[in-house]
Amino acid sequence: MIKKDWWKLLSGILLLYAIIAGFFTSIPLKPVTEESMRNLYFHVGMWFGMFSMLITGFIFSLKYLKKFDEMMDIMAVEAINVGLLFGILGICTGMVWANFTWGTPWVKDPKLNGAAVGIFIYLAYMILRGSIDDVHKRAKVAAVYNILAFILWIVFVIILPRLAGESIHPGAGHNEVPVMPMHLDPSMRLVFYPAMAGWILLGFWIFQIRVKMRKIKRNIDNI
Amino acid sequence: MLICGKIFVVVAVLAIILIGIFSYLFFIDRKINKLEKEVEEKMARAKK
Repeated sequence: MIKKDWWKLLSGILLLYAIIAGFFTSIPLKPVTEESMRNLYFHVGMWFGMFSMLITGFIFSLKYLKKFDEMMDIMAVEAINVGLLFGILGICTGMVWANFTWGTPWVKDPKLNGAAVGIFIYLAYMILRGSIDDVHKRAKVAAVYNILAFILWIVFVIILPRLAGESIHPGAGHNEVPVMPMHLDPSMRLVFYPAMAGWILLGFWIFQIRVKMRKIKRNIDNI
Repeated sequence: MLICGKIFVVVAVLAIILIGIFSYLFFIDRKINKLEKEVEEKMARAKK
């Protein structure tokens, strides 16, 4: 049990560390964000959790198209499910944070709008799946769409905001807020990296539970 | 500095919530593993 599941415990320990160290260590205070910069350990964690799940879904969709193994389709859809959970939480936490730093929950900004479009792209994936009854056809169409969705997601969330150049949200354009981890203050990096690892592992754990659930459902249907 | 502001109370609450959710996930995980085996056994029997 422990041998196979050590990473689940590790995820818990990392996130516990992120909460404790995230609140107790002092951070360099910047104007506007001040202490709210600690949100970096949590809000950005949602983004990392989502991204790792979307990549996972993308890989399993490619694998599905290679061998047409139904299990790969199950893995892909559940990865996207968990990715959507993280994505929606990321948007919600971002709105709270934005409300206190920019004065409004939503700014018409390429990065924010891109993230919203990204969520819609994957919601469309779920709707597309729901609309096809034939299992094999659904798996094939969904896999092709998922590959396209991942590319579109990269374009909307990563490439377009950078091209637009003037985003208020860190990580696009050129603004003052240090967002790439290597620009972070060293004291914050010590909490930031473990926290991100913890969130990613938590995502994989939920993903694994959901895959098992769906496998059971499929087996019951086959009896 | 932060210790004076009783922020540790919030940290303690968050820590309890996190530990609670993780233990809960752990038990769900275990239950679903058992269920998975059960269904597989039933399937094997049904095939016979």
